[in-house]
Amino acid sequence: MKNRQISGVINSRKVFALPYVAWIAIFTVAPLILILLYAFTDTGSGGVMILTAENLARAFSPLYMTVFWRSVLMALIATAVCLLLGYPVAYMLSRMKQSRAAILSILFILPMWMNFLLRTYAWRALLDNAGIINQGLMALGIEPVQFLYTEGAIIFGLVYNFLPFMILPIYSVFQKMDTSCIQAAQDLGANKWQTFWRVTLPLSKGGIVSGVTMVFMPAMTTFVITRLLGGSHFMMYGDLIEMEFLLMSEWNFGSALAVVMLILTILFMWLMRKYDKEGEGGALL
Amino acid sequence: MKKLFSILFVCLLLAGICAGCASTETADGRTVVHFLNWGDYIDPDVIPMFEEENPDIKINMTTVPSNEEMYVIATTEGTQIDIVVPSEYMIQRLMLEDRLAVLDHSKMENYRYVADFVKTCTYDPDGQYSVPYTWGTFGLLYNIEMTGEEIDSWDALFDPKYKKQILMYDSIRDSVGLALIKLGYSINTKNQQEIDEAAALLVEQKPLVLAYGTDDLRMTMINGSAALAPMYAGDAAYSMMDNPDLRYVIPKEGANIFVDGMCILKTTDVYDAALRFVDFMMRPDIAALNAEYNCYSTPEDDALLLVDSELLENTAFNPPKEDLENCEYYEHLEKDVLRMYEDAWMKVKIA
Repeated sequence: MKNRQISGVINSRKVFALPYVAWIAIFTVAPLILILLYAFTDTGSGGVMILTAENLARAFSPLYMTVFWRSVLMALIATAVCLLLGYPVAYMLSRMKQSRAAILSILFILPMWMNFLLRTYAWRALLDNAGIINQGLMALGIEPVQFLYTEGAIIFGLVYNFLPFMILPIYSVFQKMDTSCIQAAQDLGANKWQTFWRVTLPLSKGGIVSGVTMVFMPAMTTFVITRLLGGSHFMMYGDLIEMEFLLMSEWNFGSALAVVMLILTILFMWLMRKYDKEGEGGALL
Repeated sequence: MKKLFSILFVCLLLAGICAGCASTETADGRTVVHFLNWGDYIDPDVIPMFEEENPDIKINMTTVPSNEEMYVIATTEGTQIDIVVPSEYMIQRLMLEDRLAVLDHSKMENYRYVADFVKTCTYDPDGQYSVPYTWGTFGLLYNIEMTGEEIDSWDALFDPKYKKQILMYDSIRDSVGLALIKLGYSINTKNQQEIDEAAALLVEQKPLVLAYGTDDLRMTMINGSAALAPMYAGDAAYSMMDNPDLRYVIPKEGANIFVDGMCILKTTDVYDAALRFVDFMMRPDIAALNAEYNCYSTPEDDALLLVDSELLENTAFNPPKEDLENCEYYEHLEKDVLRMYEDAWMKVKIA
């Protein structure tokens, strides 16, 4: 649907699309080509570029795949939590009076207007052993809890940062949903659960698919949350790629890792599209 | 035709970007020197002072957090950098790769102030390619209130009684290096077995570690949220001024000693102007200003005379010279060896 819109624009008002085409060419297509080029080459003796699959083979070795699967797992958990929290919220928002729903949804979006790093740093101060939350616990006579530098803190950080990306697409699907379908189901004798499972949920699938995509992919590739909230005990795939480029100056191997990431992205998008044949993913836009 | 137009557009954009980065002159005709420095490493007054004394030069400073990033930026084609301040092992690498310009000592008045003990680092004994800017050690910072005793050994970082009060440095060579020192090996070892042993030790240590970090460790130590952390002397000296319970020690097994030196890249178009700035930075009053600002030791005895006495008494800033005897400089390691260190650190990270 999106593609059709874009090509339509090009046909009718070609000139206006040029800045966009140039933008995509410079900042998306060219870097992708460079990554592929780096991933399949290496600098041999005397600075000559040689074609090799060695970097890719190393990227698929058990040491690095462990990091990969851990990132997938963490991202899946974060996505599941976001879905469980976000779905009911989106539903409730859509059933409220318009004016109240507008205020509440602004409250959900409001934190996103602040820089992601700042918000994460703020959580560091809150969760610290000597932080406000633990001080409150101590005032109540409860032993301080080690929140910071745990896997739980990383999941929390991911959920906190990406929850709005789950709520908004589902909310927009609910808003457009034809309530007469639900009324019909009730008229025909379905109870609340049956209505939900067989009517509401299938109708909101498009929103869930875009929500899951928009949470899972950035969660998988994130790289500062592990450092700030997780105390770098663990590495996510984003951390690994960053380390190869900036610390090891291994652009070839770093690109090979990025290619592995890219393969996952493409697989995931394909999977999501399969579940969303009707193209309702566009409901987000 | 339309396609041609868009290609042209892209080329124009790219040309614009390149023209922007290659400027060696300001609009009013001053020579621009691009200086790639560490963050918080120079007194903010120093560059304006230089520009006042040398009205024909403008210093354009950019900062990076690590030697490795400094290397990436300095050597990426198309970026215009004239002066860099890498640590000795990175200087060695840049020297080996023939990326540094030879410094003309006849035009440097202030090199004579630099103390001999840092000049004699093995990599560049005559200061042909670099002049020392700061030096320091990578030792152990601890909170004496929390440990309850004085500490003089790296063993404390591996002691179960400090469980979850230990911070570790999230850096490959520093962390693997301190494990190597504790085991009695060289921090420049090329022996796979020794590196494996160090990795195993660090994996074993992992449950005791509260967090791995870099610059943020400073804040955690000042807050008193952890008891022990390996730290660069400059960061340690800074922390000790904010929290009087903190002590710094160069452990008896030894430690890494480093010298950060100013170098001029071979690719420079403004060699003379860059050299004037490098020389200015070595003037004792300027070196003293910078030392007081960044808390890293200055290699100039004349500058030490001008430094605040509180800082001078700080054991991290001005350690007893006999403690330095056990200390070892990093050497630049070949890619294959470095990969052994990297794999060792990866094992720790995924454990």
